[in-house]
Amino acid sequence: MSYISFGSGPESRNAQFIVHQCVHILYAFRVFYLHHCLEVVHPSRTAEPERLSNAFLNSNQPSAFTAVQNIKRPAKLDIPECGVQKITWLSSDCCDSLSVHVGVMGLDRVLVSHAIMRSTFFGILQRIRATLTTIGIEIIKIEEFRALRDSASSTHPGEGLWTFNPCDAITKEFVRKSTRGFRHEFLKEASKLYRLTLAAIHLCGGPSPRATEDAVTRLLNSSTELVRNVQFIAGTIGVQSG
Amino acid sequence: MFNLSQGQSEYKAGEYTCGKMVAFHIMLNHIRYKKQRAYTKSHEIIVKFLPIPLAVMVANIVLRVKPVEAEFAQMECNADAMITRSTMYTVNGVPIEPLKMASILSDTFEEFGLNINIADLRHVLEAFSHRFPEPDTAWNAMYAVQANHSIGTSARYGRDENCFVGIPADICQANCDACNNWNTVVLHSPSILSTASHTKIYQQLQELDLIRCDFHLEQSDKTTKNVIECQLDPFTMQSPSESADQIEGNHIADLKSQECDVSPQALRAGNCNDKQCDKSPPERHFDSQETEETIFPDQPKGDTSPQTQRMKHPRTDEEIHQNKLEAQKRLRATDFRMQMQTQALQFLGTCTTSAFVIMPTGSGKTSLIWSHRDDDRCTVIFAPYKLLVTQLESICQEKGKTVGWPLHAFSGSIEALLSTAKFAVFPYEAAPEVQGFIRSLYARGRLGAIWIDEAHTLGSKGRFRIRFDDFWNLGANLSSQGVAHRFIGLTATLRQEDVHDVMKRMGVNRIGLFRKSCYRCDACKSFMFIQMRTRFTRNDTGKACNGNSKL
Repeated sequence: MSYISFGSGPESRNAQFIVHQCVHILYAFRVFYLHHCLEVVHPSRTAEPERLSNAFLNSNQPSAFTAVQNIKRPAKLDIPECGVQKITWLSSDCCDSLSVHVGVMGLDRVLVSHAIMRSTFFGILQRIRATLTTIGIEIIKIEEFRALRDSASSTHPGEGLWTFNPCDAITKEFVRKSTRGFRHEFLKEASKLYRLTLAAIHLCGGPSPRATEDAVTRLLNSSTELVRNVQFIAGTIGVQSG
Repeated sequence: MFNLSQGQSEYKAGEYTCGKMVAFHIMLNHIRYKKQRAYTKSHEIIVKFLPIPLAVMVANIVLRVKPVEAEFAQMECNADAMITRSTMYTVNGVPIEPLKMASILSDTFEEFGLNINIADLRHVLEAFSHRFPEPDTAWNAMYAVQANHSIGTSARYGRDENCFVGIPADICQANCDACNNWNTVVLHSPSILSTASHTKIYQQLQELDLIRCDFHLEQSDKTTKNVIECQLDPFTMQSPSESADQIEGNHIADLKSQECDVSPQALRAGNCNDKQCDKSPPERHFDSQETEETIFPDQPKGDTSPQTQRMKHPRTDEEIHQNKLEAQKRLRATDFRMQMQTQALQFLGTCTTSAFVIMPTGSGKTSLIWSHRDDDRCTVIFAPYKLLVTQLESICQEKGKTVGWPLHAFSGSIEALLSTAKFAVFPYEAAPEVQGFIRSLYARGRLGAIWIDEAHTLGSKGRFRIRFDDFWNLGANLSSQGVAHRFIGLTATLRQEDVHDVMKRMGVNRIGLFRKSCYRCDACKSFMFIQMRTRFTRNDTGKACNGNSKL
């Protein structure tokens, strides 16, 4: 077929074009069939429409209909489902930077590299650290972090890292000292913290789930969703993907 | 295997799924928001292990911030403490709406200089992950699962120019790696030139007498070449200071006699000192012309005056590629358009009658209005829709004093209006009422061309709006009042068979037609239509005037 041999050159057509033309011809066959059945076939010949259909509109029978179908089907397979190129590697031998095709029709380019992602990641970490300092909580350092406990078999509702590392006394003391204004400020800063944390998580460890999926990251087991997503595993925090 | 519970979370955006696993005596039931239910056949639990610094911060959030937030949110916002503690991202103790998360994350990344939306970022992450292949022919499937993707879906993400439909996007890369692994392990002859394989390939080539004794393989390696180019003159492969001396032949004998001892490893590691680098290239340069061609196949022959050349800044592959992309984009945006506009302007310059300019949408028809105007005259523009009128007015205001409809909105005197206005933009409906204004402009010798935007809407076949009919008499009335005017119709969709119809409506009997096809951008027609029988319709008098068919 010309569209295979010549691509989309001046004498050929692309697969999409071939499919469209074939579909039109097939519809013409069907319309003609309907017309024939309504106008020509006598109403008393009730079996005739079915016979005609089986004979002429059946891909299993050699017919003009089948011939057109045989052109259409391979052409249909050649239409790319998602042929749009999304990225371009900026260097053939070094796969650490690429430009993403964004915007209308993918005409704009955004450069993303390991270095940019790294810089973003560490920028977020610094902001998280600064926010933690601002809200004045007692920071857990690496020494205490290494001493954290968790249970991989924890399935009871309400259980989480907090269950195995209770900090009620600290929390109560913190709450007792707080003023109303501070509480509002704390809530605001806390939301910012979570947003930054999820953004940082999104960038590390490989590709991330969709943002909607990130939004429901759970810290405690619940009665409907027994397993939390955040656990202390292998000396670090693990975020389970669903 | 046990399934302890199933169900849906309280979040309603999307599907939810259940996965379960028994590992030794550990029983876990894993449920989380998941879009692709069909891809959850695997019972594996996929965990993203966080870098330690982030992990410590997350621990702080879970153990220090969350409990406090839960208390505060309960006190201040009456939020359920358990829900606040359960979910990572809450605002005032209430879980965030999942559908808002994409824009929230995009905004966050933008704050930190990564200007990309989350959907595009997923392509980036997948693309990078495809370059962490496993030793076999496929990439690491674990990355695909982390993104909640099947391998097939993962393949469709991060598509580059090597992407094939239905085949993993980086099959070429995977093939390449697989073949290299095979060649390395089985044949001890790698197919990818890398730091590790360099020595081996070099030795084999030497043994087979496939390399000149004075040629160093690292020069063909792009990365290494970049290192060299940063330090040496791109034409002679010498440092600039040495280049002149080299031409004079001061050091030829010395250099020829010395062995080049710059190892590829040293070059790669950047350990090559200037002295070493200065020594090595002249040998290649002067030994033979043939060798030079081998090293620099693209360099033109006879280029023997490097000292007269401007020292070029060696561009990285990344820069070259980026520049290429930008140049292509510029070309697409400007070349095509400029060519069309230039042709249209040439046509309007030569055509003395009324004219139709038919050009594709977005090809710059509007800019013809101010490109083809006499500075002393006032260009009158008619547009069919309010939106278009407003848009044209704002554009024309940038180019000069513009009056709109109604005319009394103009702040100055009528005299000032007629003497200073450069553009006048009106809706079609205003045509009967602006005839006096046009006549006054004409009387002062300031009437320029009358442009009619979207001229195809004047056709009687479409009857886009009944009020457009008001425009039909404009040409006839102006003619009857002795105003010599020139209409220029702009449209993208006027069919050839409708030209005569629109001519009738505009009251012109002779028109130049410039047509530019958007499908065949090289096809350009400009010819003259002559209305054989033009009828001027006049509502006010009810009379019909016959135009001169032999103009």
